[in-house]
Amino acid sequence: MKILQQPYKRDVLLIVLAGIIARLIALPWAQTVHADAVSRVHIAYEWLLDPYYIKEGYWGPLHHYLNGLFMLIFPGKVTGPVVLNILCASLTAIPLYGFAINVFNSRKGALLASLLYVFSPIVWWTSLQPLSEVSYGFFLALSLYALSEGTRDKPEYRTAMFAGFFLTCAAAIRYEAWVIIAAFTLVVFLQRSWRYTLAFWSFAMLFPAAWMIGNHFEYGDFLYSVNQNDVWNMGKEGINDDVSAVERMKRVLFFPWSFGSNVSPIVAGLLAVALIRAVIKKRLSKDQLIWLIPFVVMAAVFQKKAWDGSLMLHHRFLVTWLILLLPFVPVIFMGTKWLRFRTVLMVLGLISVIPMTFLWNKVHYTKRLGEGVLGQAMEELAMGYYRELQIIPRIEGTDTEDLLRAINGAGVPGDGLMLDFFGWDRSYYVALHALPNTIVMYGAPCPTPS
Amino acid sequence: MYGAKHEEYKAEDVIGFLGEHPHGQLVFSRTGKMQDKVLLADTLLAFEGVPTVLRIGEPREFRGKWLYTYDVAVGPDPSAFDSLRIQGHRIFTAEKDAAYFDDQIRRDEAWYSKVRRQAFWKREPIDTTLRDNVAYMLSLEAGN
Repeated sequence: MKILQQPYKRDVLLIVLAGIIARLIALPWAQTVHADAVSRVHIAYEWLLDPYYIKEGYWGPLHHYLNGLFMLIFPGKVTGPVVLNILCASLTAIPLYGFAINVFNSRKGALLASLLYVFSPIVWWTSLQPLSEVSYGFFLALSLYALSEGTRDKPEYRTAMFAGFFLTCAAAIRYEAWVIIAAFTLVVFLQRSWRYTLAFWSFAMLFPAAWMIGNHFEYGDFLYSVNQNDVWNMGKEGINDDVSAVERMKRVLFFPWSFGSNVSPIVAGLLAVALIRAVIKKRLSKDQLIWLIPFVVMAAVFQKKAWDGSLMLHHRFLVTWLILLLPFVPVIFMGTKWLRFRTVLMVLGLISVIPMTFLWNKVHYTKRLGEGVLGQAMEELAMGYYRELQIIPRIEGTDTEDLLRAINGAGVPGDGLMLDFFGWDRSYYVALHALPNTIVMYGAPCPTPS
Repeated sequence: MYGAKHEEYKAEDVIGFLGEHPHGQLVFSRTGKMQDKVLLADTLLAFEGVPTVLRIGEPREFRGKWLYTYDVAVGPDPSAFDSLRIQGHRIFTAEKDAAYFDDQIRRDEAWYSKVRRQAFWKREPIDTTLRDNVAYMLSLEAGN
């Protein structure tokens, strides 16, 4: 394992430490504002009161188990799950760095790739509340790294099994990993023997197989979890009821724009140009080229699903792109021409990511790009999807806190609290911190422990 | 089903909830949908399709959100909502007032972002810009 050698070991330890310390400094200002995060806290809390093997359902169960475990270690409903996420977000630097070193042997590239991940706005935002993306990203990156260990001539079956195990863990948290199982299997098949591929695939499929069987017995649908998402998004939420040209443009632009916002347009631009040039000029080895497959597959899946409305436009889903594409940052440093200039640009890109997020929502896009479909789409994206780029999740204003204080001050044990829906963040923030026995009308049914 | 997906109003949820918790607190939002499902008469409040009437206390306002205490006042009576319909009224006025637009703007992410941007370029506190936007919406409403 190259990553255990100096100076690599020192690099990753410093990045991990910086990620943890920076987040711990931000933690006092962070609030659990996302409705999904609140639901996940309550599910884990309920599970902890009466632990059992979750064999079917909508959300993958591993995040609930991990949240429950961290609730045991840290008192309260939120601290433990947030500590879990802070650790996962920061520790992901290790496998990302390790993969970049194994595949590209570029210390500079590996360093920048892991720094860009750990300090990207969306990884900040999702790691400071109990959402599932960063723990999924951690297991995904571990699998990626494990598969990059060993060589074609000296395959280590142990790493194939570890890689499969890590990927099945990712699949037990988020369903994106189910598609990645197929993409990674293809990569492994193209790079290694069929025996190695089978070892990896068998372990990777452990959770999906068990979950599909469980859902079939409970709901008569092997893919209940995935199908249910479409039922809600397209059926109940009606996101395809009125799809204008502007809406179509938003769906096309969202994830590429989100990538640019989360790694800086400078890095995104350099990476796109470097990859295209490297592919055209055949500068990538066969193995390096093969490792592009998972990103290409997932980018195509995201774009297609965003287009047909079965994937909501959330910046947090971008974690998959970050994990699969950032390890290719070393490609930017290939060749010697203008190398110093490229390095300066990359460093500028890295240090500008967070300050730039405070500017994206200050631009008048329709003035800059015109009143056409593109200008309107960018205006709506920047205005309507800004929340997740705010680095530290926090509810604006003091009225929600004031309301919460009044509720908790007047309530007595056994009292009920019925909340009218007044926005996902505010309603569920109150539901999380108010006395037990809360129901949010017109929201999602959210189990509140009594 | 969990997470950020809307459920519809179900009277049986309210019946079950009030059965389990005959005392407690209610929060109504000025722009929320619950106002269409309740009627108020003096200190009595009834939910559509719910055979139980609640006695509520004086409300406290938290910027578009009204907090009430409640106690179940009258036991199951299938005509509770209908009898309140005769003398009752909606919890909020149908007229869109300043509180309505303030709440409306603040819960709409895109709209609020525009107000924030406006405040940034005008170099003024966001509450000032928000107040101007509310005043503008009220003037539009008055013109209708």
